[in-house]
Amino acid sequence: MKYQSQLVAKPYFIAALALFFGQIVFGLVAGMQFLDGTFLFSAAHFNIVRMTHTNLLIVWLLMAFMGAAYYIVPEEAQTELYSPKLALITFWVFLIAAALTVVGYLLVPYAHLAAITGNAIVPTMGRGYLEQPLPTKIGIVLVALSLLFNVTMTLIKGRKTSINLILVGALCGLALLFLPSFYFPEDTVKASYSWWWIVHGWVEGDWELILGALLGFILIKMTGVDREIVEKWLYIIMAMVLISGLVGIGHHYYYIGAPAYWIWLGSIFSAMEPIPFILLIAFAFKMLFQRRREHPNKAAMLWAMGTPIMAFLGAGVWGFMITLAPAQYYIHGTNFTAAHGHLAFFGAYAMVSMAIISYTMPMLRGREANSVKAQHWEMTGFWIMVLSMIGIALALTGAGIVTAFLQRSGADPMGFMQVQDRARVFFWGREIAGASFFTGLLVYLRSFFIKGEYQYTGEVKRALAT
Amino acid sequence: MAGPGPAHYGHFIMQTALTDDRLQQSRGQPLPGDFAIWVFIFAELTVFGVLFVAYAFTRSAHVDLFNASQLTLNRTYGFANTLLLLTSSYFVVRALRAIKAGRHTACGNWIAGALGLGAMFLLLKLVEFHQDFARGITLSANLFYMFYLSLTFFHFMHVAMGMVILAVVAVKAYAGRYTADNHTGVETGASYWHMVDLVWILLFALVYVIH
Amino acid sequence: MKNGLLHILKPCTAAWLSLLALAAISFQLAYDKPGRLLMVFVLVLTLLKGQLVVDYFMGLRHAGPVWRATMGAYLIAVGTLIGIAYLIS
Repeated sequence: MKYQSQLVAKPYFIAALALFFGQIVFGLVAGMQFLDGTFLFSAAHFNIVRMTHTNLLIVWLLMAFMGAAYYIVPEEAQTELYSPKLALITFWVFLIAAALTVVGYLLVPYAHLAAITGNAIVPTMGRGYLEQPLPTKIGIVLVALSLLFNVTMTLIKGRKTSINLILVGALCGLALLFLPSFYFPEDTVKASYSWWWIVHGWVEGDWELILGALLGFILIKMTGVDREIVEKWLYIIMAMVLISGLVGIGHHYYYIGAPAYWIWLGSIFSAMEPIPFILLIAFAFKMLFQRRREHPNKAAMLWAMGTPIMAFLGAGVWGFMITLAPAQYYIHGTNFTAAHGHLAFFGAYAMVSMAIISYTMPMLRGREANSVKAQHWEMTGFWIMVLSMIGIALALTGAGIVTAFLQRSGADPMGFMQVQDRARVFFWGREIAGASFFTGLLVYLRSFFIKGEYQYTGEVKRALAT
Repeated sequence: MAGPGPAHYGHFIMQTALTDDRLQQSRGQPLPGDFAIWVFIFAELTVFGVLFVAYAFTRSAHVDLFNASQLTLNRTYGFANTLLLLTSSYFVVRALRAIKAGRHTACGNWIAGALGLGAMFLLLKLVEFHQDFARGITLSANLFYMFYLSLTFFHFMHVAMGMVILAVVAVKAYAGRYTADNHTGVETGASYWHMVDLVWILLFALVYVIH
Repeated sequence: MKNGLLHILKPCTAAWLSLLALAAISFQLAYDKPGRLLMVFVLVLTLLKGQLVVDYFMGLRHAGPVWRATMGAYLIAVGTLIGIAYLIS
């Protein structure tokens, strides 16, 4: 770690992991409620549990991205962060706002929450992932602006690299793309459009740029490969993201009342959305094979290599399953989508966040890499979480298949609740995989508490002895 | 000069040069311009290729509709646009020849000419779009018109982007930033422009002509 | 005796003029009655035009065999698929 101000990333990362923990707890509860509808019925209704689960996900990922920006921008720009103080104040504002929002969700009936937080002034509440009260939404905008101001001022006075430009540019995009959350028209088709500008624009566009920048940074630092080679790959990958993703938003417009040409444009362009993920795998492994050094942080390297593969599986493969219009006609909004959502969010964004934390956290704690013991715990956590998430995806896909056959096709389709009943075995599979995932998360978190740094001399001795 | 004699070095360099030369002849020269633009070019060609094939196969299921609707297109405009783009591409080739001979102002002039023709293409296309919309040709009118408008609009955007790239190249050429030995930027911009031309050739034939 | 035209014209200029001529022919054929043979002819003509642009404008005739093969394969692939689509209609 070269610049003292990079330390502001630490609280962001710690909060990110704490919120991740909370997210999974709520996920387990929600999964249980699929199987027993009365589970915690009076204390926490399913819709509240679900939105807490999803909102925590978004906030912890944003925390991780912000921490990553505060770490990466100064190092790439080769100058101290413009205002570490502002970064810390922003952190507390964001964390407190997030905490208050979750408390609001859990303790206040949603309609009442809307009434007391001024939803009548500018209605923004009620849409999935955008359930936050107006003050929280405004808070998110202010936090984003603060981040942008800070990193842009840092960038201006320092070295401009591709990583930095892509990262800061994407963060600008992130902020701008959040603005449609304030636009909630009566017309449900228009409301859907604007919702997707945020959701698709973020996860199938803007955030992929962030992923590329973060992965590129990690690979430059850990492999020692020429920066220019990494940059060229990134530009190509980013170009493919935009080429496929911009019109690819049409794959959300097939059956919501939009004009029919979206069936064509959405299918053709979104079919190409897996391409950047294939390129990311090729890129990551090429850099690994061409590495000029053996970085002691093996755990971080594992995250860096695992991310493109899992991202390709979740976003590319599972995404492709549901993207073509004829397929989506039968499986739109089924557990196929849930499987894709879980595997993609985890594989792409949760994993790249954990990759950047894995690489930077030892530095933020004063060492190049953690002890071998700590790394083993971390890597075990990695494998348990990765395999569990694949299990979750497979289980949900099973549930989706049941829905497609029994509810969406055939001469005599069944009703929703009947079909949910038929899919119980898959919901059990999901919950068990979820519990396994939670175990993996605990193992992963434990690794942060194992003391000691990487012992070069010890490792050399061991290597020579074999 | 001390050390292993210069003659020894010279001999070694000669050998390497000869081997390089032979390799060059068998491998050919590298692609003109920045390699990254070529990956971009291949990607764009793939996207347009997919669109063209999608058009062709969709047509095979709606032959009469496509044939009938195709006749309502203004083929004269399409042909004029073909001539404009072919010539502007030719101008860009001449621009590259000019800078290879070190004549940076001539290079700038040729590109300016190409830009002028490109602007005429855009203008003519806008006129055509205006006439189309006036006649009720929209993305929702029918399947053929959906493809026609999508394809030509995407291509239009690529022409516009190509013009931005060429404009930057022209400015730098006039400023003397390229030389006979160092003009990768010109080759890069030129390659992109030729791709735009190539796509139009395929598009015009497919959408306006073949029936 | 070298290619006569190339005595007076540079290759790229010859290519350009050929392209203009081929475009004019294609344009004229647009007004002709439809027919399988005609359609195949125009398609082939189009691929030829494409190859001219690739060779003489993009300058790929000097480039390595891998690149020439790639572009050639692209034109053939797209052309063939389009041809199939038209022939099955």
